[in-house]
Amino acid sequence: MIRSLLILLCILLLTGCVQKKILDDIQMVTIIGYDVPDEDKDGGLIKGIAVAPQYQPDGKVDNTVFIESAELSKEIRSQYNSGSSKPIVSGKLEVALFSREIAEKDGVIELVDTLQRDPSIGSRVFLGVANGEIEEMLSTNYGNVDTGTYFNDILTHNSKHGMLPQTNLHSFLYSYFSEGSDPFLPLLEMDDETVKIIGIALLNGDKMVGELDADSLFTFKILYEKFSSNDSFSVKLGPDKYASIYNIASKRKIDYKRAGNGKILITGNILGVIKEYSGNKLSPEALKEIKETMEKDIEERGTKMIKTFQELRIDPLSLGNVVRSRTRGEFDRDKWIDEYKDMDISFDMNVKITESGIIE
Amino acid sequence: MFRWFKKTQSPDKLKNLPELIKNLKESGDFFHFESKQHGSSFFLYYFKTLVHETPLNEHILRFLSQEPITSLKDIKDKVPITGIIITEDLKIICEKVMTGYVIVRLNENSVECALIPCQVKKARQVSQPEVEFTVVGSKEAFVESLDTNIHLVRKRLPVHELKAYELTLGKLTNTKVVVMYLEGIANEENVNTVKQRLEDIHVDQVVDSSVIMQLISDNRNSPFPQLVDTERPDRVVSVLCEGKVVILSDGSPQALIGPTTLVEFFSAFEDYFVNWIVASTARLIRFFAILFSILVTPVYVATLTYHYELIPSDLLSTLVSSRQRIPLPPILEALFLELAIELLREAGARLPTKVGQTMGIVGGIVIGTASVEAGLTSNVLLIIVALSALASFTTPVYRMSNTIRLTRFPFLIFAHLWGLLGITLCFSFLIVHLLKLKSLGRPFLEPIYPLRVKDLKDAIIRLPLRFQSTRPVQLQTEDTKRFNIKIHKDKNDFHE
Amino acid sequence: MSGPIVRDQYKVSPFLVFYLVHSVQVGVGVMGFQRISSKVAGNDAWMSVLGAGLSIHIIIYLIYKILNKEKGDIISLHKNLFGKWIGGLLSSIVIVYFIAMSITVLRTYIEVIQVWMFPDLNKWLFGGVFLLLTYYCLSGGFRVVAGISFFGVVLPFYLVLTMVFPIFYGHFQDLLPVFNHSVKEIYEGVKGASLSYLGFTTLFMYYPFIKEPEKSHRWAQAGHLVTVVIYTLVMVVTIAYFSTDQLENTIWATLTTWKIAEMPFVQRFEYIGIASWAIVILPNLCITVWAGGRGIRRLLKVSQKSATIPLLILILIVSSVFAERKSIDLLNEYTSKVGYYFVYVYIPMLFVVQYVKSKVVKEK
Repeated sequence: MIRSLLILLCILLLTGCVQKKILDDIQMVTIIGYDVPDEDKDGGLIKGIAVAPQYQPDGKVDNTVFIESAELSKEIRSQYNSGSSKPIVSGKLEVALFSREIAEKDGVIELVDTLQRDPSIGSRVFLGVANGEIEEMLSTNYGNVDTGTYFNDILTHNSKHGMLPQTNLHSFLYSYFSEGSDPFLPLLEMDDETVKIIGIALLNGDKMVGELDADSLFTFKILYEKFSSNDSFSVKLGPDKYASIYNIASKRKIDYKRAGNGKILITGNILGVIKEYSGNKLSPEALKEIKETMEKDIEERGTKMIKTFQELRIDPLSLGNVVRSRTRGEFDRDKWIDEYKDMDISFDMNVKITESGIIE
Repeated sequence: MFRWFKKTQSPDKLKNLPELIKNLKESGDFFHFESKQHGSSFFLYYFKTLVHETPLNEHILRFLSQEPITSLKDIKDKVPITGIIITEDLKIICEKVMTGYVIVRLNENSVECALIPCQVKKARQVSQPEVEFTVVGSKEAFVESLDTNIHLVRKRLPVHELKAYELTLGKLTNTKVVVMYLEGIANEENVNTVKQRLEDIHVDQVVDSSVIMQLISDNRNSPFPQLVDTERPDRVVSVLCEGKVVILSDGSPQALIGPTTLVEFFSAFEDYFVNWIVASTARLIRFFAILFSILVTPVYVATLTYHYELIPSDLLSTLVSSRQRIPLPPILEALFLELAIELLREAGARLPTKVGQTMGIVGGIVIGTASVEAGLTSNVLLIIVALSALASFTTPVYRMSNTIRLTRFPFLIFAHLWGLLGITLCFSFLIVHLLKLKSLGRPFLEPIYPLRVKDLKDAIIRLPLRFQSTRPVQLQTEDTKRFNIKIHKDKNDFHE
Repeated sequence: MSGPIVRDQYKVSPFLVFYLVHSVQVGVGVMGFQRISSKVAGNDAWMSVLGAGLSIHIIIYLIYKILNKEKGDIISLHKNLFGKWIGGLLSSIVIVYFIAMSITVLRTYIEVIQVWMFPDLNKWLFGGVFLLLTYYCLSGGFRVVAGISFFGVVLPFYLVLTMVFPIFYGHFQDLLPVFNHSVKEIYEGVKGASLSYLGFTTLFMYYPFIKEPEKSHRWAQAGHLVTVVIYTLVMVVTIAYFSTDQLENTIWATLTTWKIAEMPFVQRFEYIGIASWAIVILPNLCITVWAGGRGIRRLLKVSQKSATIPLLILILIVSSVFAERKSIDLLNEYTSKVGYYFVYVYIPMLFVVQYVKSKVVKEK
């Protein structure tokens, strides 16, 4: 008995091992970018830029950049391996970026599909569209930090505390496959050694059809999801009169009644604290003024935004899902978009200013 | 196995008493003494090293020389010592003289003799418990003398139900072993199991109760101890009252307790001396420590070898940079450190206390830092291994901490093979093994499996004393009730 | 009408039937059962899951009715109802079904590991070690099997908590409108969902091993109820987490939902989940192989050891032979189909036959 167990143990140790991925013997890609290659230089249909950090024993981080072009996105990975001293693994991928050209012309789903199919890639990977030269964006060193983590931190904190709506690989796929909603992706741009979120890219299916600038993000977020953030929002009250609201918490509700031609009413409840006020004294009247101006401002912006969406025939606010959940029978996307195009969508915003800082 | 022994067994070969005495005289410490006065004579034979000189001189010699002795019966009547035996049986004579009896013969060729008990009782003084020291509570520990040990138990449990069944084990050592239990409380089946198993022991030497423990365990091929050993008489008394069976063996300061359960190995006796909240917290910490001790190094090996995805990004740079210069794969790195710790422990255990302390410092600080500096191990693993070694020592029963450190090695190998999956497989093996284990025929994992909610009152946590009013179900005691609970009900209101 | 005599010391308490029933149901099915019923019943799939669960409550009731009357196992039942030869044939079909179930379980689990963790896992070796573990467990007798099923439920129970993470990403309006699918579609979903509940039929084998078996009825029902609750919960969360088309593309929906889980000390949870699943799979394998071995022992009058060892070798060989995704799917499908008819057709039939027969005997 014991002898046979020993033999078994030997067999196990000799043949049982599976492919090892020892932490310091692998190249962990943390960010990957896809671009269309320059026709004359690289060839191929797609160019992939992968960045893997090299952690040095003294605490320094070097970023290694791999650039390859190929016909298929899957081929790129094997090409990376030929140029790397250690096997490349993708389990630590944090951000995947697409160049604007790819997002507008080719569509991103083919690339996202490879990410989704790979069991080692998590669902929390951020996707984004990069404005401008993606190669330069990823080749830059942003201080003593791994590039992927840098991008990840920007996107995480902006969607957690800032005005960027929640996005990641999973929510992209959810919206992409959902009948009643269209995906959107954060739009990033390099600005003098730093990276900035300049808005969001609006997608129809998997193709980018439009964008929202950073100013509209606040309104979009109010209309899109419940949130609370630390960012401030400034209200223009007059030519030289501003008020700044922060600590905003918002909740939205979508009312849909299918009475003949459907109407949608989006109600938003916004709570905020005044941080800055350029006027003389924050009287109750002034508060009321701020409140009303803000409500009107958001409603106006919202109406404009919805107009754009309707023109682009996209539904990033996933109003379609709300309609679907209140409608019996089969829900057809094309029919819904036709209906959505001319739908009467109105807003009702309620702003409540709870406090005005520590000074009255 | 020990048949050779039977052939040289002397009473078979020696035909009569004079021959026996001639044989015994070959030993230098065998004394003989003859006296002829008052017309009568007597001969004394004894082992000087086994006999107490004072009673020999004061009682035996005085009485024997004062009055004329005509028959052996006279000795029995006149010498004021109880337990005098008059016999011709060579076997008894031989056995008794070897345990400190004095042989008295009236003439040199007689085959009959009187045996007067006169043993020297040299034993260590009752001292403080060293292995199971507690700050609160009794400071007495068992010693090597069986009589003293029984005394320590009996004085704490002065009831006639306390039975001490005695038997002799070991063909050469003739060790006295006592099975103690409370009649009417302990399950008879348990008592009989113990007696039966003890009687089935056929070895030449039983020098310590640990030997008995190994011989009567249900599964002898298990690294897990299946009986608790303790050096505390108060613990023995406490478990006797619960209905357990205790085995005491002469020459061993450790009592064996059974049937036991796995959780009992993780409960210190001190748990009963402190408030239940404190005790429960301590137990939970201990359980956590055990799991930590077994699993943490294997998990390190598994994640670093296979599951880099699991490591949080913030930790990643620390881990990678700490391992950057290390040439060994994680498994060898871990085995190297684990072995180093085992070496330290082993060396420390074999050395006198004071040198041992120096060893600890040399090993812990010098070797540890040096191996990190030399790039043989990563500092992260050094911390992990040291912590897990520390955690393994939190088990109150010393034997269990050895087992736990041993258990880590198969886990390490499996972790190296199949990562986390290997760890779960190994864990399953461990669970199945524990499920199959029994202690004196009672399930070892109780009260977790079979789940006995009633026994959970004193398992992973220890509930207040008023919840402990019944004896453990596991023991199937004859009398299940310990005491009646009289809960003084507070009026359902705040105090005024 | 009496079954095999089992000595009291080998019997388990009726309470453990809870774990025996529950642990054999929750196995590889949970990792991806959502897709099957969601394909037809869409966002109403959770009702299919619930419906299938409730219908099985009735089947369990029937099983207890049958067995309480028979006071034995399915082997003796078959023998009594259909005679030695036909009964033996039926019993051997049941035994083959149990074995097929264990093969499915092992093979599917190995597939999950190969896809998600170690693509180059040596399935012979891994299967061998896993079956060795099974053998080690079985050699301890039914008490140990019941024990491992107890731990197979209690230890991985924390996995239920991981369903919290997808809830944060859940779109619960996806569940609306309720009853958006026809009864027929929902029924089709029931058919798909009932497959993940299978395995409780092993009750037919271990019934004689229960102390006061009549009392174990409510525990069996309770064990099944917990399965129903867990499955429905998982289904609801899955529907909310995925959009319908997305779910259709996801083979192992439960595992995919784990991908979103993140804790301060663990960034990706699915690896821990899959690894812990070994403890869930083990009782599955132990109970079915035990049932198979026990059946052979009762049928052929051989020792259980000499029945189990070849069985384990057979399971290892067969499960390693299935290499492709397609053939594994096929294996799953056939086992499920047989199981479906066994549960919904054969058991009610057995009940009726037994009832009629007892009436006839009484009149005589």
